[in-house]
Parts: sequence; C-alpha cells; structure tokens
Amino acid sequence: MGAFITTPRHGIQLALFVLGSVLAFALAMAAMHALPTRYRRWITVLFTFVAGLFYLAEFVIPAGVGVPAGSSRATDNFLSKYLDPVGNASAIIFAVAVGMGILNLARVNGAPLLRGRPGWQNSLAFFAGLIAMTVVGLTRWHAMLGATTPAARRAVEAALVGRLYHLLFDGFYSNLGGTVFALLAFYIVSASYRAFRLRSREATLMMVTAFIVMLGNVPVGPTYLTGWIPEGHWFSFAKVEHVSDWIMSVPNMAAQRALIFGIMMGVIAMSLRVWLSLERGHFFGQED
Amino acid sequence: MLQDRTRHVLYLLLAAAIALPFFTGTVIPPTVGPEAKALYKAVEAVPNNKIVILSLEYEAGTLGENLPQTRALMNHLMKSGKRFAIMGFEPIGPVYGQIEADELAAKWHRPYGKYWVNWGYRTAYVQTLKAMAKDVAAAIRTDHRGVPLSKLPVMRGIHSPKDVGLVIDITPSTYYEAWMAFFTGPAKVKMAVAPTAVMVSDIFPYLDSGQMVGMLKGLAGAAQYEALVFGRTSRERGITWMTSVSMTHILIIALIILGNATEIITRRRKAVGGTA
Repeated sequence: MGAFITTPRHGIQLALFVLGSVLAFALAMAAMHALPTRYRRWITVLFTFVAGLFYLAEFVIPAGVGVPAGSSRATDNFLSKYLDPVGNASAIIFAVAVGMGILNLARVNGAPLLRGRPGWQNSLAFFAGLIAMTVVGLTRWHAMLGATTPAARRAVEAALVGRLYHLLFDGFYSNLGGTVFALLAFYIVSASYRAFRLRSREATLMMVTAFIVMLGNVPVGPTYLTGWIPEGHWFSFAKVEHVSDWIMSVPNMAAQRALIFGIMMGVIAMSLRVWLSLERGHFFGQED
Repeated sequence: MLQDRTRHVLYLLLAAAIALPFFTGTVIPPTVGPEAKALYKAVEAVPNNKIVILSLEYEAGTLGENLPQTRALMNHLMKSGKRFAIMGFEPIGPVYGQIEADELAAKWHRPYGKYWVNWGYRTAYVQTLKAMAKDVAAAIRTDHRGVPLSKLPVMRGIHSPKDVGLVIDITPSTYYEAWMAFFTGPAKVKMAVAPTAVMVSDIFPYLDSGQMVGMLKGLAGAAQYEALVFGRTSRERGITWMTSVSMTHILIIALIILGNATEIITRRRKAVGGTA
C-alpha cells in the first residue's frame, strides 16, 4: 500500500492517479459529512492522535530499532523511512487548507456582493484582486516555464503579461503591504509624545533604557553622541553602543531566557491538549 | 480639536524626518556591531564546496527591513563568489529574493544556476526541514521553475546537510526556531538570523548559546553589513534608508522629552493653582 502511494508516476498515469486521489478525497469528505457529529469527531480525534504519535514515536524511538544493522543511517529507526511520504502528505494537506481558505473567503465575500449589503465594495475589491493576480500570475508563470534563456525571460517581462504582473505585484501588492505596516510609525510617534511619561520610578528606568538602546542601535548615537571617545580608551565602556550591547546581552537576555522557558512550557502543554483533542471547542464542538 | 491638531503636526514632522535625508543625499555612517561582524566572518568562512541557504520568510509588510538585509547579504555572497540558495516557508519571500538576485546577478556577473539557485516556496516547514536534515537535494528535488537540481551546476556536490555551510533566516517571524530544532541543530550546521528590529531582543539567548553565529538587527543590521561589504560611507540601500530611520529616532526622542516637559509644567501649574 505504501509503495503504491509513493511510487513516482508520469504522463497519463500521473493524471489518472491525481484524478483518482481527488475523487477518493471527495468521497471521503462526503462520507464524513453524512456521518453524525460524534462519529466525525472520533474519526478526526483518531487521525490527529495517530499523526502526532508518528512524529513523537519517530523522535523518541532509539536509532537502530527495527532496522537491520548496516542497512541504514545511524540515526534512523524503523519509522524514519516514512518521514518523507508523511511529510509529502502533510504538504498536500497544507495546500488543500490554502484552497479551503480561498473557498471560504469567496463564500464570505460572495454574499455581500450579490445582495448589495453594506461593504460590498470591499468584497468587489477582494474578487478583483484575487482573479487579476491569479490569472496574470499563472499566465506569466506558464510563459516563464518556456523561457529557458535570460533573453527569453526578459522578453516575457517586457510583454503585456510581464508588465501587468509587475504593476499588480510591485505597484499594488508591495506598496500597499508596505504602506499598511508603515502606518505603525505614525502611531509610535503619536504615542511617544502622549504616553511615554515619567510617572513612576519604573517608568523612568524603562525610558532611560529605551533611550540608550535606541541610540545605540541607530548610526547617530555611536557616530555623533559618543563617537569622540576612542575605542580602547579606559572610558570607552561609556560609548552608547557598548552600554546598549550590555543591556541587550545581560539584563535583556536573562529576561528573554525566562520568557522562552515559560513560553515553551506553555507550548508543550498546549500541544498535548491539541494532540489529545482536549482543547475546548475542538472539532465540531460548537455543533453540540 | 487641539489634540487633533497636535497629532497632525506630529505626523507632518515624521513625514519630513523620513523624507528629508532622501532629498539632501546625506548619509550617517553606521558603526558596525559585533553581531553583524560575526555574521560577515561566518559568510567569509564558508568554503567554496559548500552552499549558503537564505531562507526568506517575509512579505510586503516588512520589506523596509528584510529587503535591505537580503540585498546586503546577496551583495556579499555574489561579490565573494559563494554559492547560495534562496527558499522560503512563506510564499512571497522567494519571489522578492529572485527579483533582488536577478538584479545583483547582472551587476556581479553571477548567472543563475551556476552561483545561485531558487528552491522556491515550500509548505509544511517541519516535515521539509526534517527531510532536509537527512538529504537536502532529495528533499528539495527541483528549483522554483521545476528544473531538477541535478541539472544545475550550483548544486554539484550538494547532497547532505554537511554540504551546507551556513543557513541565514531573514524573517519577521519565528521560523528560525524551526530551523534550529529540525535542521541546523541535529545536522550541526551554522546558523544566523536577520530579524526585524522588534524581534532583536528575542535572539540574544541563541547568540550566547552559540546556536546562532551572527545577526543583522533590522535595517540597522543591513546598514552595518553594507558598511562591511562596501565601506561606511557608501550609498547602498541599507545605509541610505537607515539615515532616514535615524532622523525619526531623533524626532521620537525629542518628542518624548517635549511630552515630559509639558507634563511637568502642567503638574507644577496645577500644584500652584491648588495651593493658591
């Protein structure tokens, strides 16, 4: 069974295999949908547990267990050979999840657009962006596949599809994305004037620290503020970049280590809850 | 009304602080920090029979920091003739990497496939990294255009993780943790990171432990790296953009001082008014 799934296929055999897989997936989904909620939940719980167990077992089972001596790498056990096919299956599930996400977005935005509900303009922008980028992106990608030389690739870029792609990607996507993020700078400036006040000893300590770290990390601090102190001079410890480095690599690092430790303990607890399906509201919980 | 006016003045000041250096053409020479120096040395130390992996995990939102970092590193790699591969667990990162690399390849005469390769976007990062830790070429198989890696001269002799000289994660997220846990840690490959400035404080424990050999601290890190590659007064992208950021930092510091001065004066006035 494992070999049947993982054997590489080409041409018509590959097309039939992909079609068969899609049909099998659709049938499995239809069957799941027809089942009562409690059976669906148990099937999902079972698959989640087995998938988690595979990676845990592969990690903790010692090397060499179930593997004939000298036949494999020293770090492998009998589960290691399945890492690649399971990894590929995970990649496919991720890809399907992206497709499901697009379908869901289309469903959420389709209704306001068709019924003319308030905000329908946003839904229109979503569909226009999605369709334009998909069509132009795929057309350019297809043209690029046939362009094997730099001259041919430049010709694709100079053609209408190439120019449209750069208009959408560089002109719209990159600039809009950068602009939204850059708006943060305006909030920070406003907040620095209004909220960063010396109201207590702790606030004062935080502000002085922030000042030093900020100045130590931008060229203006080391170059102009304490640039006159020569490196190696007995007083060079007072150079703003050195004080900033000390703050980051001593008190900050101690706090970060504590945080990382705490966060990772939380991650382990959370992973266990997800793996064992103990998380509240997991898998159709809202349908009860 | 008065508060609105104050806010608008602040926004105008910020816009002026950002834009002014671009018009005046002045640059503030960066002072290179130990983290950037360490990364530069680590890149220099990669032997010619090994490849450097640039993992580009950013999207449009953090281009202002991550793109100059990418450019600075690619400039160094191409200048020194090191082999490198672009890849990403976010779909857009390798696209930006390809655009930058195409431009720099023409400048340094480093053709695609011979000096560098784009492995493209990869899903399921944990599974991909685990597979790469066993056999890099078998896990990746093709470049972003579907060309088998075996046909590209840049991949000659690159098979196991031992053939990877350095991994540099250029990122606004925590993919570097996955790289350390599933690839660089188990396969004992050197790793560095180029995070956005807000993430910098998170990285120091990994520098101290030796799990990372260097770091580029946001845009400032990119400027410092360019200073190492081209000299402190060069007008490369990171150094030019960092001059702008320096101006905004001066503005922010001035505003904090001004805000506190206003608060102290208001408090004193109230105190005087209360006792009167």
